[in-house]
Amino acid sequence: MSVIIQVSELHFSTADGIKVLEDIHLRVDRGEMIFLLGPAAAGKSVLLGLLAAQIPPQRGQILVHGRNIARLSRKKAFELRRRIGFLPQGFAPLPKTVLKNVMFKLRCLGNFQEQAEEKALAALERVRLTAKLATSATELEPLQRVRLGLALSICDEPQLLLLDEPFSNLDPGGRTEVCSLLAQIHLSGLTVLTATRGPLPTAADGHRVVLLADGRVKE
Amino acid sequence: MISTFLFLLGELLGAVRTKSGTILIAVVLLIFSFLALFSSFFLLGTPVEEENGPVLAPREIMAYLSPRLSPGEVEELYSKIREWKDVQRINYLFTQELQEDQAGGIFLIRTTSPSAVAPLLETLGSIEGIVRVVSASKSQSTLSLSTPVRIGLLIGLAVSAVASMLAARYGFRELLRSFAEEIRLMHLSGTAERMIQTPIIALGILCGLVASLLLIVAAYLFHFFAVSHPEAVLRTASGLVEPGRVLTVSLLSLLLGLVMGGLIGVLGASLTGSREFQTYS
Repeated sequence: MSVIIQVSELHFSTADGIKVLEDIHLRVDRGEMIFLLGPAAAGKSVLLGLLAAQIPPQRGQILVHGRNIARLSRKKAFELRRRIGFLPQGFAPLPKTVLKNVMFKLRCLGNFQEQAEEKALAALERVRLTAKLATSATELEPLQRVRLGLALSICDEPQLLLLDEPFSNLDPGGRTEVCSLLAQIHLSGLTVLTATRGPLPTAADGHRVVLLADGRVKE
Repeated sequence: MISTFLFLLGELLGAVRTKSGTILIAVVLLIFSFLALFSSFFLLGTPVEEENGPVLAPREIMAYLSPRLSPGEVEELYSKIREWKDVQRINYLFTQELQEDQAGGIFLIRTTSPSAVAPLLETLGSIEGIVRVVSASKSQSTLSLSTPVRIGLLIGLAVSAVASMLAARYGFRELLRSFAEEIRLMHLSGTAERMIQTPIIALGILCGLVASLLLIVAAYLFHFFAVSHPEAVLRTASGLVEPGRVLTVSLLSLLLGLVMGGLIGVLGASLTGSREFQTYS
């Protein structure tokens, strides 16, 4: 199986010198579904930000899609971001309808109106949110908001999906539902890496779990 | 690419709120002031060769009368010229109204067409009692501005340029704040920075374009007024009666307005890289 993420000797500190990540080694194979489990402030969001080429790395090597993130030009970094579906922690939708939220992203990425609408509808169908197309995204319930975040992440057909705390603010039923949705998305061939502070829903059983604590990875 | 640009420009314009809109209108007015001051250098002032006569509109002729003519002779000459078919209008002015150090009077003659100017000049020049005739082509010249006016204009130019830049920075910050979620989403999803910035630069250019067009409209309104009332502007804004000069100033202002708008747009676009518009900083 080919590797989609390869992290070695990764270190990261804040501007104040506080160590966030220390000597991280992580390998994710294409088509895997992984849960990155760790307490608050363990460095999960930073690790995801680094993997998504949103934060410039300081020390160590990160290869995503075979590209060394530290050596990417600005243009190449933007190109890489387009191949990664990323749902940040505390995702806030745009004050538009559900459909227009997804279409906005697709239009920004160069899709024409019809093409964007087609892709947006397909993504919203996959996350079962077509009943809310004309609803204002800011009025969605937490679970529907996560569904919209997922639709935004997968709408441009990425190969890698990075999710930061998608289960927060959800009840156990909502967590299970999101986890089942992720499993379905994963089955379509996407590599899915989900960072969460836990607890993991039962639907996550059988998938690889990586622990991140005190800035270090433990499997 | 163009479709994405137009889409983002539309979205950006949709994010204009009362406060940012008001500031952007103020920016347009400040650019307009800058362009108006710039144009003043070319339109205000009196001709350098004033001893040869004042500035005239293209269809106008000025006939200087001998101070020895009696009032009766002046009136007779006036009535005679008024009857000519090529003369649309004739006014009598005292020379002192234009040049205080000379005696006598002047006929300000407006012809029916520009082609009638040359034959009339010849005819008028041959009339006894008319000492000199001047037409527009002879009197158009370099304008002279006094040093205090020049310094005042330069200071105004600098102040309006700096004020428009500062207002634009503030206005664009306000506008981008109401577009912040969209910019963060674009950064997250991998939209190229230049794609995010181009509509902002275009909005700046649009501000410059609107200011330039306002200036051109104002310049032509003043021009038409000056042509119909040359005596009202001869000593203060002689350049306004020259269509060629007004056209040149309009084109220069359009170019300068676009450059100014572009600079303002670049200033606004540079804000998108700030921490405020990043999910991770």
